[in-house]
Amino acid sequence: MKSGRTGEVMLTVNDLTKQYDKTLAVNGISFEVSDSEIAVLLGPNGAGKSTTIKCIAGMLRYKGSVEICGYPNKSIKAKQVFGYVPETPALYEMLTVYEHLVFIAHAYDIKDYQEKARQLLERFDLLDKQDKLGKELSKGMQQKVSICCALLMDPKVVLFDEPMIGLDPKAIKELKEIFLELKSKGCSIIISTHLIDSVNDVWDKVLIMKEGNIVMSRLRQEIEQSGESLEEIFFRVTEH
Amino acid sequence: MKPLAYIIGMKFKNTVKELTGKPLALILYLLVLLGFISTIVLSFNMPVKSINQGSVDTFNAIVTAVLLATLYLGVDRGIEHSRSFFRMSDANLVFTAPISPKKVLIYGFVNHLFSALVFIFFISFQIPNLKRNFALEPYGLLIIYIMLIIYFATIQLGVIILYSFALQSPVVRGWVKKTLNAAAVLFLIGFLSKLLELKDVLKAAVTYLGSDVFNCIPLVGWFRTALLAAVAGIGLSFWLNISYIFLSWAAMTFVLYKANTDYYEDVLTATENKEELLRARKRGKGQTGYENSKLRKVSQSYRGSGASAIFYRQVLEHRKTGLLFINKNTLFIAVIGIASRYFFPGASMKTVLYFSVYILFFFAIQGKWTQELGKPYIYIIPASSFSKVFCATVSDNLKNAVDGLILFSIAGFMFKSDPLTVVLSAAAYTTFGAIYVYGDLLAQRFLGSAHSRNLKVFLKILLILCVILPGIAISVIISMVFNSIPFIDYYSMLILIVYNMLVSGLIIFLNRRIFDIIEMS
Repeated sequence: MKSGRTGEVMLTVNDLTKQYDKTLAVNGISFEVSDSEIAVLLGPNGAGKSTTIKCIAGMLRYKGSVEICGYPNKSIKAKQVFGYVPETPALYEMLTVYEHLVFIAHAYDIKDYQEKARQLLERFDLLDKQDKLGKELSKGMQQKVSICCALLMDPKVVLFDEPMIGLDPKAIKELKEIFLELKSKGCSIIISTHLIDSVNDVWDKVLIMKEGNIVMSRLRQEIEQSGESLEEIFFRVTEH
Repeated sequence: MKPLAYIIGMKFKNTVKELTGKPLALILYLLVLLGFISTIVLSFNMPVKSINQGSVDTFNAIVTAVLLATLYLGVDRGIEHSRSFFRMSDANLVFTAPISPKKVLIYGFVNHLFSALVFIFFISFQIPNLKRNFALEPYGLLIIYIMLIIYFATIQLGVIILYSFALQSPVVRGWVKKTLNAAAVLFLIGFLSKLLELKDVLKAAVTYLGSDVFNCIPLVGWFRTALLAAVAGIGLSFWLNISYIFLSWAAMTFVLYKANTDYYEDVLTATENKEELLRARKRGKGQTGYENSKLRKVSQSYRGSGASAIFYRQVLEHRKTGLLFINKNTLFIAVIGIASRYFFPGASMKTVLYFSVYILFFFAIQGKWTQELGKPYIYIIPASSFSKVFCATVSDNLKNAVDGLILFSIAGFMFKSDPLTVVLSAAAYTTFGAIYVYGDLLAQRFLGSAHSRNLKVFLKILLILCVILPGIAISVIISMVFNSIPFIDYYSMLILIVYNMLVSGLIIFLNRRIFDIIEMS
C-alpha cells in the first residue's frame, strides 16, 4: 500500500464517526499517515481531536474503519506496532517508574529491554526517580513515564494526545528530538494538540479539525508555498 | 454570603434541571427519595409487634456504640487529607474571591450537610429493629432522628474547628491521630477485659458500652443521655444535656468566629485528593483503600508475555499491600464474617457465607478488574480479548479463594464444622466472587453507555442479583425438598457452587470479545 507522498501508508482512517448521545464528536473523517511522516491534528477545544486519537487507539466504539499497518486497529497485530500516549497520564499507583517499563516489556514481549529502558529514563530525567511510585509523581513526570512506556516497544505508529501538556522545557525539547528520531526510523507519528507553536518545527502534515470535521488537510510544502503561516491558516479556517 | 448562597442555589437548580433531561435517572432518584420518605414515615407508623424484650441498658449500649463510631470516623476522616468540604472549583473561584474565609468555611459546612441525609437514610433502616426490640416512647423516634442529625452536624462543626486550629500543622495532626488511635486502643482493651471477665460477647458489649464512664466524654455523654429519653422518657437529665449541647454549639460558633482562618493551604491538598477520588468514582471506581498505605518493597518475576503480564503485575501489587493475597481486606472480611455469628441469632456456616458474600460485593467493586478498566493499558496490549479478561480476573478469583479459605477455616472452628463444609463454603464464597467479577462484564456490555454512574451501579446490582438469585433459590429449594437425604447440605452447597461456576463460565464465553465492544471508562 503506497500513499501519494512519502511511502507506505501506516495509518488509514476511513469515514470515522463517533457520537456521544446527542453530540456528534467526530463526523465521518478520513485521512492517511505514511511512514516517516509526522501528522498533527490541530483544532480548538472540543474539535474532536482527542476523541479521534482514542478511536484510533481502540479505546472507543466508533463507526468507520481504522487500519494500522494494514491491520484493523483492534487486532493483535495492529496493537503490536502502535504506541499510545494518553492525554491524561494513567499510571498504576502501586508500581514504581521502572516497574511500569518492566510490565510493558512483558506485555509486549520485548526482549532485552533493560538498556532501552535506561536510555529512555535518562533522556527524560527519570533515572533517579525510577524507584518512585506512580502515585508519588507529579503530572508532568507521569506524562514522561507514559511517553517512555509508549516508546519502549519501538513502535511503528505512535499516537500522542496533547503530549506537551505538563512537560518541562527540557522534556519538550527531548520529545521534539524523539519525534524526529522516530521519523528518521520510518515511524508514523500522529500528534493531537491545540498548541501550534509546540509542533511548528516538526510536522509534515496538518489536519485541522473543527466541530468533529477535518476542515483542512495540508502537507508542509503546500502551506509553505501558500506564504501563510500555520497559525494564520488555523485561525482562518477555525474562526469562520 | 450572597454569592455563596447563589452557588448553593444554582447547584441545586442545575442538578434538578439536568435530571429532567435524563428521565431514567430522574425516575431512579425519585424512587430513592420516595423510599427514603416512606421509610421514615413508615418507621413512625409501623405497628409494634414485639414484646419489647430489649432492656434500656441494651439500647444505651447501641446508642453509645453508634455515637462513638460516628465520632471516631468523623475525627479520623477530618485528620486525613482525603477529607474536604470543598471542590476544586471552590478552591479556584471562591478561595480567591474577596469573601471572608469564615463565610467560606460555613459555606463548605452547609455544602457538606447533605451527607447528614445519607446518615439518616441508613439509620432509618434500623428503626424497625429498634421498634421491634425496645419499648420506645411515642415521641422516641422523633428524639432519635433529631438528636442524630444534630449530633452529625455537631461533629462536622467540630471537625471544621479542628481544621482551623489544630489540623493545619502536620505535627499537631499527627498527635491528634495518635491520640485518637490511643483512645480506640484503650476502648478495645477495656472491652476485651470485660469480655474475659464475662466470657460472653453480647453481655460484655452491653455491660461495657452501658458504662457511665462514657457519660464523661463531652458530646458523646450529652447526646447519649438525651437519646436515652427515647426509651426512658423525658426527664430533667434530658433537658440538662440538651442545654449542654446548645451551649457547646454556642461555644463552637464563637470559636469558629475567632478562628485562625488561614486554612486554605491545608484544605487545598485535601480538596485535590477529594477531586481525584470523585473523578475515580465518576469513572465507576472507588478507592482501593491503599492510597495512603506504605507499600512493601518486593520484586516480581514475569512468566510469559501478553495478557499474562497483567496477572503478574496484579500479583506484584497484591504482594506490595500484603502477604500475597492476604491483606487488610482479608482481615476485614474475616472479622465481619465471624461477627455475623453474633448479629444473627441461630447463625450457622450458611449465615457466615451469605453475610460475607454480601460484604464481598462491595470489595468486588474495588477489585483489580474494575481498576484495570480505568487505565488504557489493558485496551492496547497486544493480546486477545479473552486472554485479557482471563488474566485480569485471575488474581481477583485467587484472592477470593484465599479469603474464603481463611474466613471459613475460622468460622468452621467456631461452629465446629467438618472440613468438607469448610471447603465447600470457601468454594461457594469464591464462586460468588467470580460472579461479581464477571457480572461486571455484563454491566460493561449492557450498561456501558448509561448516563449516570450511580444509575449504572444501581442497575449493576440488579443485574447481579438476577444472576445469583436463581442459584440460591435452586439450592434452597433442593435442600428443603430433599431434606431427608443424607448429606443434603453438602449437595445443596455443591449445586450452588456448580451453578455459580456455570453462570460465570457462560458470562465469560458470551463476553469473550468484550474488548472489541467496550469503551474505556
